[in-house]
Formats: sequence, structure tokens, C-alpha cells
Amino acid sequence: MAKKILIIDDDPNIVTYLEDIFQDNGYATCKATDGADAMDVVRSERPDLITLDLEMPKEWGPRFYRALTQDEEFSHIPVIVISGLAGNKYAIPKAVASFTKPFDRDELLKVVKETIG
Amino acid sequence: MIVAAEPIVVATVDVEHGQVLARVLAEHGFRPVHCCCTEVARTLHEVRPRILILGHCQADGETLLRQILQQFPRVRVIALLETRDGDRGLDLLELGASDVLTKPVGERALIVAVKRALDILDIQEQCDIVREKNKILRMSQQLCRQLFDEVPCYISVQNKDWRIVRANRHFKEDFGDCLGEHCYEIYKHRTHPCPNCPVEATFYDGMMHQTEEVVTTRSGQQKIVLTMTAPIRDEQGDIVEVMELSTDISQIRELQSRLTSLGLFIGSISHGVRGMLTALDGGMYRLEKGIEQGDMDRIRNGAELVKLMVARIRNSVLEMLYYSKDRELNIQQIDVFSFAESVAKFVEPKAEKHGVAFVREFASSLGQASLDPEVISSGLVNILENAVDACIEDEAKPSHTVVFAVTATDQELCFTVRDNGTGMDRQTQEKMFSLFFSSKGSRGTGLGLYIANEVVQQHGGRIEVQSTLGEGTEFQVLVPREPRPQPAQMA
Repeated sequence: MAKKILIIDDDPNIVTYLEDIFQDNGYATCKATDGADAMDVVRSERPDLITLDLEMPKEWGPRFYRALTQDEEFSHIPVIVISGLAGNKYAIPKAVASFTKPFDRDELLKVVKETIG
Repeated sequence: MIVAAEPIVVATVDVEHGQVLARVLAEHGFRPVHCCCTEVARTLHEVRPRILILGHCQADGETLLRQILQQFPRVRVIALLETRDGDRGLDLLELGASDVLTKPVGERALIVAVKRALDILDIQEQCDIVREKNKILRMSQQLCRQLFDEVPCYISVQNKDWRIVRANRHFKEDFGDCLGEHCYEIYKHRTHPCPNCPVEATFYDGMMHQTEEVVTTRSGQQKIVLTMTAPIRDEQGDIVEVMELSTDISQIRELQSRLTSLGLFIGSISHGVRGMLTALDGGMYRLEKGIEQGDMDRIRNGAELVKLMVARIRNSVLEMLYYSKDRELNIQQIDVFSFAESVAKFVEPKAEKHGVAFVREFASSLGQASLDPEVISSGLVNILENAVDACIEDEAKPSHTVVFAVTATDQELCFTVRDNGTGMDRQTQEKMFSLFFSSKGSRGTGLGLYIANEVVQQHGGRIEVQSTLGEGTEFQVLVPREPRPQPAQMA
């Protein structure tokens, strides 16, 4: 079965872009448009990897990340930060990788492949 | 020290008499130069004496004296008379002779006359020096006054009671002729001395002190000044007054705040721009993949996304350009109806796409108006797009409508934008025209309504807003038919 990636971003155009990339490379995707909904999606979809935007209207990415890591069942899921903030690698130091928008597509795919195959 | 002997020219017709006089003078330590009466001018030129003894001035003595004094006004002339001859002696004195001696000239009389002439010369020299010094003093006083008055700063001198005892012209121009008044009243319209007064500090420690103050001129203009104080001491070295020198740095501060907000602005939009560039990448990717796979739907979809993102980036860049430079209005004569129509056409597709009804209510015969169509139209588009967004966001009502109504009087155009979207809470209403305030998170730059408000005000118009949370919002943009220039606003 295809590995599943949860895309968390408030910008629908960027969600679509990430869906395109991942689906074209054989991954399944699901999405959440803010940090508040994201935890519910994690529970229902049980993704293998998460891409996380940091600044979103309702709940900030870092807060979602804390909730995720405090939940034993899901704390192992690898997270890739994709955000518009420069220097974002300091926001979530334990992320697998941090990308600043606009990001390099091939780099992102390479990290995803290395992480979940 | 060897003092050169004082040269004295002795001019006589009678050579022998002249030689006698010369001998006497030489015995008294002077350096006599004897010449004939006819050669007196040439000899004076050569010797340049301060004293001349002019003998035998009977017939044309007056004429000769006058000529000599005209040519050598500083030479003291001791005139010799052959005989006591009525008032001739007095005549010569009146003409400017230093002394008049009658023959036979006694040694004592001659030396007394010479010494008197020397005394007068000394006094004259002293007078010249004093006069010269006075002139220098007057000039430097004038220069000081000029510097004091013309220096492009406010200078005032205060005594220990904070009373202004001196002020320069620049100060008087902006704060009035206020000698004897309290500096805190004049500068700041205060009733008590300012806290952390630099003048007081300088009185206390005799050092220079520097502060930054906001002062108000008599015309009510506020200025930011950099103030420096310095002590003025009396002969005993006690501080009697303090000089306060203030430089107007309002423009620098204004520039600084502009740069700060520009920096802030670039920071605030950079996130948005990054998002838009990423979404543009997404559109390009979809387009490329569509072409690769021959999938027309994907191509169409990708192209649309690219178009949308390019439009957004364009708007952001234009807003940025607008903000980074003060723009002069480009007033043009326009037909109000077609102007309103073009504004509506800009927004209508977006409303339709999201199922929001877009209703035009244009009054008939709107006529012509003078305005800057580019900026007013972008302001109206901004407000209309906000209305559409408020409808899209609102999930409470089954259907949504944005009404764009235009009415006009002889003086004024009124553009009304009414929606039944989310409405705004009080905080949003209060802040919506502020720079960088956005209720849209990363999708807004916080510039749209700020600029809309600025340009409407630039035209001499205003924007009125009524909004109820959960019910909707009504914007009224009122613009005069002919622009009314606005007085420059204080930053």
C-alpha cells in the first residue's frame, strides 16, 4: 500500500501543489488547513509523514507539533517543515528537514524518499 | 634697545636760521633734516617725519600749510612767524598747525613745542589703536549676532528661574518674542519645568547635556528636536546662565520611521510573497505535467493557477511600489458610469466563481468627475474584494450578495459596497485602516485598506464604515467631484 503523507498548510494552492508532487510520485495524501484540525486528521488518516507549515491563522505549526509529540501513538511520525519563514529550522529542531518557500521540489522528494521510502 | 632718533624736517628760507634750529634739535636727541622751503614736499616724501618745522611763512604761508596738510594730514607742523602779526598765528592754528612760534625762536620754546607735538602724536596713536580695536570689536559683535541669529537651530539662554534671557531669530520666529518667559511654557506649553530638564542638569554640574524633545511652535506645529545645553559662566567662573541649542530633527525621525515601517512591511509581505511564489511553482508544475501527459484539464487548471498567482504577485508588488514612494495624484477627467463599470468588471468574476451574487446599482446621469482613476479604482477593487472574501468566509447564511452602488450629488460621488458576509468585530473596525493590519492572516499584506484610505483622503474624500458581526458590512467611499487638496498631515 502506498505510504500516506499529511499536508498541513493554510494556502489551498500550496496544498494542491504538494498533492500533485506526492501523488505523481506514488504517495497517497491527505490534508489539513490549520493546526487545530490537523490532530484530528492524524488520528483518522494515520499518515506516515507530515509536511507542516509554521504560520497558519488558527493554530501555529509549533503548537501542533507539540501536541503531536506528546501523543505517544503518533510522536514517531516524521515531520518536514515547509514554511515561508526564513530560519525556520530553529522553530522545530527535531524536524527531519526544513524547507523555506519557495522550495526545491527535487530536494523535497529526495528527503521524503529517504525518510519513508 | 636702540630707539631710532625722531626725524624732524626743518624747512626755512633763511638757511642759517634753519641750521641753528637743526643744531638745537640734534642736541636734544632728534634727527633734524634741513631743507629749503621750496623743497618741503619732496623732503617730506623722502623722510616721512611726524613733525615739520616750517619757517618763514609770511607771504603765502597759509597756502603752503594748507597744501602740506592736505598731502600729509598726520604731520604736526610747528609754524614760525617773523613777527607778531595780528591774528596770523591764530589763522595758522585754525588751519591745523600744531603750534606757532615767533622769531626769535628760543631753544626752550622750540623743544616745548616739539614735545607737545610728540605728546599729541602719542595720543593720536592711542586713539587710532582704540578706534581700530573698537572697529574689530564691533565687527566681531556683529558676526556673533549674525551667527547667533542665522544659525539653523533654536538658541535660547535661560537663567536659573528657567526664564529666557536671550533667543536667536530662528527661535523668535517659531516661538515668538518671549524674553522673560519660562522656557517650558514657550517650548512645551507646560506650567511646570519639564522632567529631566537638561538646563537644570547643566546648572547643577556645569557639563553639557543632551536630550531629545518634542516641542510645539506658536503655530501649533510639533517638532522633534535634539537639544544640547552648555553653561555660561561669569568672570568668577560661576554658572549664571545656560545656553540651550535645539536642532530640528523631525525630518530625520520621519525618514527613520518610514524606513522602519518599510522594513517592517517588507518583513510582513515576504511571507506572503514566498507563499505566492510557491503556489506559482505549483501552477507551473501542473502545467508542465499536463503538457507531458497530454492532459488538457491539467493544462487548463495549471494555466489558471499561474494566471491567478501572477495577478496576486503583481498586486503585491504594485502595493509595495506605492508604499515605498509618495505618489502624486494623476487627476483625469472621467465618466463616472464607465469608471464604475470598469471597477465592477474587475471584481465580478471572482464573486461569480464563488457563488456570490454581484449587484450593480448605478444611479442614472452620474456625470463627469476629476480624480486619479488608477488609485481610486484600486482602492474600490480592494474594498469590493474584501466584501467578496467576507461572503466566502461566512458559512452561516445560505446565499450571499455584494452590492456595488454609485450615487452622486453636484459636489460628491458616493460609492457604496454592501455585503452580507461575516461582518467585523469592533477591534477589526477600529484597526482596519492601520498600516499592516490584516484580518486575513498570511493572505493579506495589511496594506490594501491603508492605501485605499490614504488615496481617498488625498482626494479630499473619506471612507465611512458600518459593520455588524455576523450580519455584514457597508463601506461608503465619498470622493469630491473635483479633488480638494489636503493640507500635509503631520507624521
